[in-house]
Amino acid sequence: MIANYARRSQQSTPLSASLTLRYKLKGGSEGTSWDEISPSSAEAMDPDAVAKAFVEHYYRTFDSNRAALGGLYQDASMLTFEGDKIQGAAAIVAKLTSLPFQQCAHAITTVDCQPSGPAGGMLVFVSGSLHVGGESHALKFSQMFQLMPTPQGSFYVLNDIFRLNYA
Amino acid sequence: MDPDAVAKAFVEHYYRTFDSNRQALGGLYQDGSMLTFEGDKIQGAAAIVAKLTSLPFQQCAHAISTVDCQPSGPPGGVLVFVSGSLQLGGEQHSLKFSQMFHLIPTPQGSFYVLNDIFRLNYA
Repeated sequence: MIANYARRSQQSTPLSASLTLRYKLKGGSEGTSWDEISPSSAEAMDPDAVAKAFVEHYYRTFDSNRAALGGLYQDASMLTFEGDKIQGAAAIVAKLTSLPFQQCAHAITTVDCQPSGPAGGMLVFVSGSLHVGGESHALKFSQMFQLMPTPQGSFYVLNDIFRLNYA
Repeated sequence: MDPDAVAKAFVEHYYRTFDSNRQALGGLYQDGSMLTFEGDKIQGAAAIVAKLTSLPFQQCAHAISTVDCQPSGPPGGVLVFVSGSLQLGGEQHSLKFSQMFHLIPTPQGSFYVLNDIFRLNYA
């Protein structure tokens, strides 16, 4: 029983839990606030909220348990990582877990998003820095994702492109 | 069409046009096009061109370091991810930037920019 509990606690929170957002961002001269909307109202989810939730989930998972990122990709997913092109969740996870470091910490500077077309997709454009365990200098990076909706009401990553930004 | 070829041709055309005649970029956008420029959100070709032509410099020269692309889904769209530097006329130091485009095919066999996001990469 204790072994089962330990295994469960290592699983990352599924993205769908982060994305069961029932809030709408309301803007005003005083700033923005979250207005809770009832689950029964069929409001479309706010793209900025989806992007924010996704980014937090993605980098938290990356920095704590890269193997768990597999749940965010599907067979058709594509990753281009520093020019290397990889397709499919399994190959993508293999690439990310084989990167030559144990610890990694991302710090996000900017997140921009836009809806990507009639299929309900969303583009997310991130810039920030990352610290690899043992290294004294942080590396700057940019990354873009296209998120596509799943029938279960969550999102998966169809497109993922990562580049370091060298000085 | 090969996404890599589309991306390469587009990037060359876009930055050459930007650096020589920003006004002419309007032809690359449509009413549904979206630009997020350093966090400012703009929609539609006219507003996008107004934004780009109002940027506070006369001369600009982009130098492209990397271009990555991937197909974006069934309608034949292409995602293009660019990084590079840009030099503004009169400025001593160049600025680093990243930019992404989502290109959608037109019935005439060309592409237009549906999504455009630009960010400077500060040191």
